[in-house]
Amino acid sequence: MALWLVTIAGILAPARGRKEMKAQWEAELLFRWRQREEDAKAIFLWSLGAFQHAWYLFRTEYTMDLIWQDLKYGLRALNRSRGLITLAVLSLAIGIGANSAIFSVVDVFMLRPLPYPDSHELHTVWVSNQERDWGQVSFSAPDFLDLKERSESMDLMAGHGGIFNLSGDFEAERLRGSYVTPGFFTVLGVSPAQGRGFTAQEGVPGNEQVAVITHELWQRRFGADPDLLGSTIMLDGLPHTVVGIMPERFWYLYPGQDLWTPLAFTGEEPRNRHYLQILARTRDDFTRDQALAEARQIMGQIASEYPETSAGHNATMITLHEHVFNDGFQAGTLISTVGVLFVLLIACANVANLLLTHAAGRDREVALRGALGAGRSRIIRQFLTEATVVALVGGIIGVGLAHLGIQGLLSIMPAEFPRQHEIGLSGRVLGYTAAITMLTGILFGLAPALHSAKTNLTDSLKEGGRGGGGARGGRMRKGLVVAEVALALVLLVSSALLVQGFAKIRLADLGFDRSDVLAFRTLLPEAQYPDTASVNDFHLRLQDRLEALPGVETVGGSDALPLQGYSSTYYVLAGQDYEDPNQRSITGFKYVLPGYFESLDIPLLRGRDVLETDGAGSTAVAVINQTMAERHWPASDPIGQEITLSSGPKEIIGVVADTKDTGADQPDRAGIFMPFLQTEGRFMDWSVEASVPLATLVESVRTEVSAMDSSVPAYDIMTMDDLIEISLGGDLIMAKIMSALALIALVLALGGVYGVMAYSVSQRTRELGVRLSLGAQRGNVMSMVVRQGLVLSSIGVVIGILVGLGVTRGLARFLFGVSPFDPLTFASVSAILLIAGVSATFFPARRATKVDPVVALRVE
Amino acid sequence: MANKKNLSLGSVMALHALARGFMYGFDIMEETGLTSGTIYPALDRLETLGFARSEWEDASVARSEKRPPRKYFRITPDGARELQEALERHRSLARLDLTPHLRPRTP
Repeated sequence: MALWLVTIAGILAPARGRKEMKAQWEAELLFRWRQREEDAKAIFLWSLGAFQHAWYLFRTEYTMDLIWQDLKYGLRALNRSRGLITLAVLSLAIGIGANSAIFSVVDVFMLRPLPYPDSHELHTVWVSNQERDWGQVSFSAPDFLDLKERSESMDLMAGHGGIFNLSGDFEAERLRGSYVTPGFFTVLGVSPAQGRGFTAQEGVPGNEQVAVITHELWQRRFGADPDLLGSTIMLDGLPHTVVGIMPERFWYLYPGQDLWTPLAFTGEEPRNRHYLQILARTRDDFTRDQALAEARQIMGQIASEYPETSAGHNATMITLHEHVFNDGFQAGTLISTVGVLFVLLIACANVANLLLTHAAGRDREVALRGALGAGRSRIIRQFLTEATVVALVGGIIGVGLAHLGIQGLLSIMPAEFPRQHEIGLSGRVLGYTAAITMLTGILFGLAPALHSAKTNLTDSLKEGGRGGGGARGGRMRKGLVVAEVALALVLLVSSALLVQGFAKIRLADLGFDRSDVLAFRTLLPEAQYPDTASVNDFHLRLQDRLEALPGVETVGGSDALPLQGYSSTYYVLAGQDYEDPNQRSITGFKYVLPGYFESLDIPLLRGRDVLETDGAGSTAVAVINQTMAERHWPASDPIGQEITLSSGPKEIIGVVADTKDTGADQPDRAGIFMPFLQTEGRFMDWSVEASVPLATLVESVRTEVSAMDSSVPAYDIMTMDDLIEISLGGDLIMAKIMSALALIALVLALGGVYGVMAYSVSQRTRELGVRLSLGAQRGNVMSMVVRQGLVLSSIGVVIGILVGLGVTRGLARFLFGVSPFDPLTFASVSAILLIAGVSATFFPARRATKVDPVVALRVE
Repeated sequence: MANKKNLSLGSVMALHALARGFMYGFDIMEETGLTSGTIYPALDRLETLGFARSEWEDASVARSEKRPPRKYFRITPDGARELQEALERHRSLARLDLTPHLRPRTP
């Protein structure tokens, strides 16, 4: 390893002195190795010094005068083929720009530590249970308290998200926030910028009416009022004292949370209700593995102490970073990084090609310099200088493009992606840009340099000769074209599959009609709506008012609209027996208002809908979906049958068609719908079906809700289409990024094929002239040229398909309803590239055959 | 030729080590505590300036230890003079009284 480094460093050193330098370093290295058994790391670090040595030798050899000479000469040479060079610079700028833009995102999401002190110590802890097939389940309050008390390796806090109605002498507003145990700010390591966090006393029931709010909420809602600290605000109808204001841009788990209030345990919380997210900070003397081992041991104790609720419980831990930037982010950033590297490779191949073409035209010039005494290294350096100029200009324009690219990425990024404000042209991004610019400069500068250095002097100087390096350079150029086509194919296929998958999700039949539905949410504060009667009254009256609006057809509601979540529960049928409570069947369930099915056009297959009369006092009823009906009553009528859930037995009154409630790409699952009026729920996800443009309804919905109770805001008002789009946000951005990259790749590859074919035709002008003057038909000559392009594209396509089959397999999880090996996609992308390849050849070919043979022969 | 007054501290330290009889880059590195990336260029520079000269170790010694021969350096009379001057320069610097500048600033 260390010897390799010395060898690599040697390449940098000027030819004179290189051998001696390498000998010196190798001798020292081996001496050190033999004489004193040093550790590998020290030797590695030591051998890095060889680079500084090489750089020193390089500087003494290659003085500023020489650099200046090369530069002046290089600029003149570049200027001679302005067209080619402009194309090269642009290709490179696009490749570099795209890379820097993506890197700016990858850096913030994946590479930088989270913005909390010693964030590597922060972990989320989960209950796992193999017997029950639980991978990562939230904690129950008693389990959390036991773990916290018994753990010696971690400081722990618990919390769960919440929605708060903020009211006052302004329009009521819904806020997202969290209930957290008082230790939250200590464990996280971030204190409020003003005021304080929560005291232990505030975690005791009765004392929890305090709040810490974000800097942003303070600014936006309270006009940065300096007296806010210590004053009270109304949350869910109850006065809360503001005790702290967080630093600017503070966020935890996801952006958009505006406040935190203490989570106070009463001691009555059941051990089988899992709703707490646990954050742990490992203490200084403990490693993550020790902490996890301890957590497992404690969960094991809990399992044996409370077998009826907790048998089989175990613990898992993942870092907070992995929890926030989860699999989706990891896969997404990985795919974009690979995609963007492909684009860079294509750009490099393009530039190498264009520079090779530029160099090939200079065979005779190079030969002349050689004949006049320029050494090989001098000529290589000349080409490297030119390549560096191209790379630098490309890099500078690339930074500009990266800036645009970052703006574009931010504009399509879903709001729930954290840390977006940190994405930009930071020092790290500029450093990365500089590094890839240098690397690509050397990479593609080397090809023409080596090619030219091998130029055969005599051949090239011969009058009319086509240059000794022609055939070899030609092979390299053709190889690069093949590579470009192959890379472009892989990118095009990948993005085509992603886009198709996304389109399928959007167009998929979800089992309900979302085109004419406006959705919004309300949450009734417990203080003003303490019982089922007051809650039901509000919901029914609001429903009536909304239905009276002009253009509104039906109004429905549920605790979660389709694709917005789904709770699950155990159930048993009448007369069914089970031995182990864990063996009961599971079903999804929802509470719905009358009108829910109608507003979403979900067909009622049998029986009746939930009605207003299915209220608190009447028989508990349920509507089941088709999957459930087929599971238990394939041949009989389920109407009138009894089904028992944890909340008691229900009589089945109707069967509705299945809907995709968990995601367009998920299989249908059993579902039960129960009357909202027979439960206690203060949160309502409304669906308003209308025959007028939905945008015209937004204001009236807001007004109607506010007219009912000015402290209850209607929020998340949007069309059902938008709501679904948001729930698919992550897939959407992937599809957009990949489409953009694929388009860039296609354009770059086309430019590459065109450049090479145009050059090769211009080189063959004389040969084609001879053929024409000897009687060859123009058509034949043209097809000969086009065939050459076709052959190159075909080889590229075949290689691309083989590579693509491997790459798309990795994309499978992003593809909904599309095979990663979809033959139609592969075939059509191949066809596009072949057609594009042929047309890139067509124009140069036509130009060639239009040449007058006499002129062509006189060219030399 | 480069101005010899520009001899860097690293080069002076390397020269100093040569004068004390250390001959190989690796030993000088250990002696002075400087990095390999400083020492080797410094030795080359000293040689270019005529303050040191290098030779290759006798091949038979190296062969007996199953390694390639190392390059070693010796200080030249010019180098010794230069070192003397450099040490003088650095000594004269040390003689400055800096206490007035080190007083804490009062508002």
